[in-house]
Amino acid sequence: MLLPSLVLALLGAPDPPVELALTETSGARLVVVEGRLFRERGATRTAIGDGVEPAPGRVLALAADPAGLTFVAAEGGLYVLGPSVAVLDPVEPEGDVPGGRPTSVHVDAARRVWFASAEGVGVLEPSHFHGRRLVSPGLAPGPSYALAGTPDGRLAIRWEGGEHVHDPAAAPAPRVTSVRVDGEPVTSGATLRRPSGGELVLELTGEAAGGAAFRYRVDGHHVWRSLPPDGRLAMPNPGRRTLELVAEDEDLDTSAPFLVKLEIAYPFYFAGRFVLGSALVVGLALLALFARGLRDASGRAQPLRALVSAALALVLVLQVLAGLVPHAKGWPFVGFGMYTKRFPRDGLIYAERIVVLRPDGSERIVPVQSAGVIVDEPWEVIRPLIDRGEPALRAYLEAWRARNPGEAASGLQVQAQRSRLTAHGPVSVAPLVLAHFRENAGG
Amino acid sequence: MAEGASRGSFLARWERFWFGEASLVRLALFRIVMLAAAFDGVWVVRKAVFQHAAGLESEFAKAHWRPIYAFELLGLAPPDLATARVAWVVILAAIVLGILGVFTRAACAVAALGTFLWVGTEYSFGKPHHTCVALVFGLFALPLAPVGARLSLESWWRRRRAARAGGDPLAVPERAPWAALPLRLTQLTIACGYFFSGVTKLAISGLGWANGYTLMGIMVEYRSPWSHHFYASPPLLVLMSVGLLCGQIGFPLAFLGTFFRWVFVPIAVLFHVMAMKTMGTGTFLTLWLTLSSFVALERIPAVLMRLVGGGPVWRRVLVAGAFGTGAWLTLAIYVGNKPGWMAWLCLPVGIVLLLAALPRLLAPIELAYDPRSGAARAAAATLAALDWAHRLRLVPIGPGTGAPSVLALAARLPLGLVALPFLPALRGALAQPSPGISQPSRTGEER
Repeated sequence: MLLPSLVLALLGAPDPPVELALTETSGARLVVVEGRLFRERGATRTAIGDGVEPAPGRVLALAADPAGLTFVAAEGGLYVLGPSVAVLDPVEPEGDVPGGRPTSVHVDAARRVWFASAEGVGVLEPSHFHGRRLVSPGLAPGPSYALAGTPDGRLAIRWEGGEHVHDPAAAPAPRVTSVRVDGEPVTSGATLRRPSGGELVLELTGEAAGGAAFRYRVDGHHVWRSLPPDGRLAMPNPGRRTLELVAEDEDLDTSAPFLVKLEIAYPFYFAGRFVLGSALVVGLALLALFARGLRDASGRAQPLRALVSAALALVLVLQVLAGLVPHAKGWPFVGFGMYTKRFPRDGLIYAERIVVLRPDGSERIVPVQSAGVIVDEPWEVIRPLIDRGEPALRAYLEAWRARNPGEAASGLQVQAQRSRLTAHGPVSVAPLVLAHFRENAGG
Repeated sequence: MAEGASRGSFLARWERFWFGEASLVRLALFRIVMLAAAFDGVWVVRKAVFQHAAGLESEFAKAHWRPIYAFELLGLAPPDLATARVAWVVILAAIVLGILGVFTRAACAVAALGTFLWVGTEYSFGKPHHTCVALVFGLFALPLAPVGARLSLESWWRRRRAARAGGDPLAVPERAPWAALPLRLTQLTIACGYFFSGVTKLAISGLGWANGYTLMGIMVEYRSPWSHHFYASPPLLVLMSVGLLCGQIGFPLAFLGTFFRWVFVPIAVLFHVMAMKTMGTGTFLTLWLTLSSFVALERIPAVLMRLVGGGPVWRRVLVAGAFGTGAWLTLAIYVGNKPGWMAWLCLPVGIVLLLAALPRLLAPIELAYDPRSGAARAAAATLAALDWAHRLRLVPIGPGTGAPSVLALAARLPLGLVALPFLPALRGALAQPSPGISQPSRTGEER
């Protein structure tokens, strides 16, 4: 690829034309020349790397995400690029999305990633790449779809022999119409009591454009998951849990959450009476053992030593039990779960960060505590920012500004920064933007 | 018969292990280290506990109060601000009294309970960590042992009073039953922690955990100042992973003897330094400090005297460098997040270690006392209690000999600072000047 360019340059031939161009939020310009993607900063043009195998091939389309990412349609599929990384990373969609080589891509103001391929039109949400296939009635079956955004927020879709304008805002809001849990109908907000272990069997009905799909999450987890086709969910961990269910339409719009509160009993061996009773029985047995065996030189019993011995033995037994059946809440009898997961080669690593956006387009990572809330676990701060969206992001930004009066800031993001673990070391790839807010976004 | 003998043998070993005699100085130093660690443990989470208690984040607090199981069993609720303030003062008072050695056992018991409740409260708002596990068990074991028998104001006061009443001012208890118990429990807890940490990695991920990419992923996720020096080389990461697993799973071997302690305790320290610098784990300082349970703390001055105070120059430099670096690093981490004046509290300890390492800095000083005087005996008892570096020879004197004056004594002390640990007692010792030095009795080295 470079050799012909060099030969052409030596021959004094004109530079190959820029096929596509896009300006990033950082001010840099992405250009596609002879099917390859480059980033231009001033007079410097740098090639964007291919990341993991297989290589993306020829770049066919670019689309800017309002949150600063760039989605790329290439021969190898859909890819994503971040403003501060220099390689493309493949988008691996989850859900029923059209396959085949993508021909065009567009990101709308709500950050939905629309793409067309030889097999149809699909849409992805930009944080976890959950997606659906568009089955709009106006969409006739036909090869080689292409799409483009229109200024009024709609989608112009073309295919061989036809075209259609799709308006994601036109469909009525989806809704969950009925929920049955383990065969029994429930209303939103109802509390169900269940023993630990086993499954919940969910049967949902709903109304949504393109057919309702159902998604769920437990305890406000930031990732909504697709409900399995058979509706069976593993019982959440014991304790008070909140199960949220939503219906989703073909545009990825979702209904208001349907709440099911769960009170899941702890297994009998975690019940206070059982634990204390068992400890008492074992402690007494140990005490009897030590009281009988521990004697001084003259053969007299040593009750204090026996008592302490029994307590020590019990503590050690509990420590070993905690090691075998780890549970952090048993502190100070705790086992180990951290750092135990194995990462494979080319696996992805996620590191959640709060990022302040500066007016010049640059980004600054700030500690989660930087708005004044002292936390032990970053997700305690991050989750509400993702969940509540703009109001929470705006409030955090204001608090951050109050504590950092000299700093310029025009927006805030929650990012999951990502790295691929390659044989040459970690390679930074485009982050996931889990929450995004920029002041005067339209200006 | 054989079964009975076996049980008897087991119980005898059990009794020796837990209740056998051990050095009281070691126990006392361990008490001080543990309470210093407890201070660090409660200090680093104080803002979070107070913030929750103050209700600044009441909605947040309600949403995030997930009590540890022990709190659930005890029915403990999050503290309000007044309770938190009282608890804080009580914990600090207990720690200070415990370090000074005033009502030592009671202070240690209160410090243990307070630390458990304070740290447990923070863990009930956030997530529990491992750094304070061995600390809490060790603290609860302290009151069971004679923790105030040495290096405490109460022991000083007791000896001083006994000396006034005619007792031998130089008589100090060296060893006692039960003194090993807190050390043993702390050691076993640490060994359990490391062992299960290693075993769980293998149980969940198998040997594939050591593929290099796992460690790379952890270093990337918790990117730290040294991460980039290591994470680009999978073969090096494989080696590090294997070393880490061996160090953790093999740690219980430290109970087999001194050699293994010299292997596994430094590995553990190295592990924490590396984890802090490459994986963002934080300092794990409290766990680091509790590792002192494996160190014969009472022998440090003698070891320094032997390895730094004498022998080949290369060895002296090497040992001094290693010891100095370790001590400086630990101190820097400890005082790094605390008020600046706290570093100065370590000055007397530093002086003692310096004197121990450099015996020529301060030659042994002979001090005379009149054994017929209760006040002089009391002063001698005080000096003996403070003479950690074994630089004093306290000799009973007969009539007709002179004793050095305060100024003459001070002139023999290089720098005024080194006299600091001794100053309170000097006045008392020399308040009874009696001429003549008779036969030396017991020297510091003998104690």
